[in-house]
Amino acid sequence: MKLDDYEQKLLDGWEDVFKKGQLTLWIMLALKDGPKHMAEIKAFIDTATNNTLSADDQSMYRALRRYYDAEMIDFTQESGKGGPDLKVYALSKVGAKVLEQFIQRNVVSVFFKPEVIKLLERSKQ
Amino acid sequence: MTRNLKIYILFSLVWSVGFFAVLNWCLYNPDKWGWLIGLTATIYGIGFSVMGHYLGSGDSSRNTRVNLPLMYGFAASGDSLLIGAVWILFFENGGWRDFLFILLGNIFFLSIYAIISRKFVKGIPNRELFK
Repeated sequence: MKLDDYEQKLLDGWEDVFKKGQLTLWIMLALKDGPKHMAEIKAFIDTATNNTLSADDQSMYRALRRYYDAEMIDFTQESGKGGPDLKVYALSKVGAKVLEQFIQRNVVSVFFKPEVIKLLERSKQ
Repeated sequence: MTRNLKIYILFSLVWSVGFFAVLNWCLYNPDKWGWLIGLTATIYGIGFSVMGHYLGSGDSSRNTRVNLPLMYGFAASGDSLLIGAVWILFFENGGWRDFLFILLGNIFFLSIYAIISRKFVKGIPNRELFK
């Protein structure tokens, strides 16, 4: 489906707003998948979102620091191969519980409804 | 409650006692020491600010679940109110009405602060934490 300039502008604007706030979810999902250092978290997000969501290193570090302060994630230091030590992040118990509830309330109970799935499947073609 | 916050509560108690003692002295000797009131009040405020900043920056928000900036504010206001009320009641021969007036004023401002802080997690705005 080809969009004209105005439609593309609308889509870009919507996506811009839609993506804001999603970084937390994707970082948490990356860590639900298993402990990762920052580059691995970024790679996971790139792959999972088809490169539609990306964050620079500074934003990622700041976000991870905030989640650590909020007790949502933990980290361990591992020696980097020939480089500086790497921080390997993992979901904490608090983070895991909050993430599960968030997914249940905002994803599963909303997007997994049969009628919603039907609507979304119509967009597959 | 963090160790630094406990120290701050103790500091603000001592600081407030000192402030009201100086204030009392100035008020009883207005001709000689009246000019000192403004200076003392300024130093009193700066002392809270400097110590709050110094002790607060040494706290790890990871180790507590309270809104630390809010708690530091509560500590300073609470101690100031407590010592101020004691001073009014026993040294200035003030009435309970004065005390009640100060108390209600403080409760009003602290309530506003508490309502605002509901949109914060450990002092971090929700918008900032989950952006």
